[in-house]
Amino acid sequence: MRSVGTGNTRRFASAFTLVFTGPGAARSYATALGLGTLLTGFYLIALPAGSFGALRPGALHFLTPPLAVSAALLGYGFALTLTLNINARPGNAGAPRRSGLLGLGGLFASLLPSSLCCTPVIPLVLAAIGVSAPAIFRTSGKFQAFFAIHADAFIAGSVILVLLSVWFAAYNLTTPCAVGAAKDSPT
Amino acid sequence: MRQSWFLGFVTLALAFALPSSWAAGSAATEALAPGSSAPSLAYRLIDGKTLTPSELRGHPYVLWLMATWCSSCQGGTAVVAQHIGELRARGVYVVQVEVAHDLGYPGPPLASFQKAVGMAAAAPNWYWGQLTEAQMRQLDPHAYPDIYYLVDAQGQIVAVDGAPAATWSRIARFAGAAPTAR
Repeated sequence: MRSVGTGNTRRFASAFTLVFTGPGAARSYATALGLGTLLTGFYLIALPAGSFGALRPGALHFLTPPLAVSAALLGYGFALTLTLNINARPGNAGAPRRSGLLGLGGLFASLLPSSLCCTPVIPLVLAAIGVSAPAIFRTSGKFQAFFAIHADAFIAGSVILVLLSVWFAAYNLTTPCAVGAAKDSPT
Repeated sequence: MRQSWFLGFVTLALAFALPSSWAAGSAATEALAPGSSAPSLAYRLIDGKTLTPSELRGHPYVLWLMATWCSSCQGGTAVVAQHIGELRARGVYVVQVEVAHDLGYPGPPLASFQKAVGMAAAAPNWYWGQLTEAQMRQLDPHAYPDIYYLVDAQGQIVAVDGAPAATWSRIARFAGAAPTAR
């Protein structure tokens, strides 16, 4: 069991060595740092936007240390996934797509609380699908409160998804071939 | 392939992110439009008293409808607390009222908001109350959890918006236009 875990860690490390020290390392650094900084900047504003009420730099007043760390993990994590996937072998296209989708899913899930709580979006959607005004009074709060109350869980889940996407991207990069990939999966 | 990833991300990010800023900017398809008179309502306060229309008459005020589970309402309350003294100096009242039944999800009591902002909550120009369903139908027919009306001393609605933290400059301009309280 331990040797399998050690093997996975080794493969994880060798993926990074391959991408950041091999040919094209400069491009990898540029992608990871450039995109990571851009995304982190966006999430530093987007994550506290729910408390502020708008996606504007003023939201930084509501930035807390856990949100800042989450923004960095989301931003640089997804940039890392993309960097690793760019270096994936052309013949193994399915695996990068899956890890990329996992990362994208994480990025979007983290935006749900600030987008769907305390904005007119849910009441308007309910009205648009024909829900009556009294029913909207009674129910729209349930949907919005769900996102507000579980905002921390959404963000934590998003960070986990993005970190998993990095793990899978690194793992896929060092998978010898499709047959090998089917035989050993990450533990 | 890489370009389509990037485009997909930008498109989806905008789709999710835009409602937040749009909400604050134009908070609400307006239930009571600017220029119309604010309804003369008596608000039930959480200390058991009633805020009557005659008490509001002659004073500009911010009538803020909010749900207690709403994160932008918590942020907005903190910002109001920072500025409540300036509003008082201008004779501006803040009437912060919880929407009826918290729109179907019972959030924390409004008193917890008072507790969170400490002494500022006791400012004499800050009223804390609860809307009845009938008042709700009149003031917030679309059931928005964070919407405020700026009402001038003549009882005219000057503006409708939401998320006070994000739109404080608008409230500050409104208060700035009010004469300094004697």
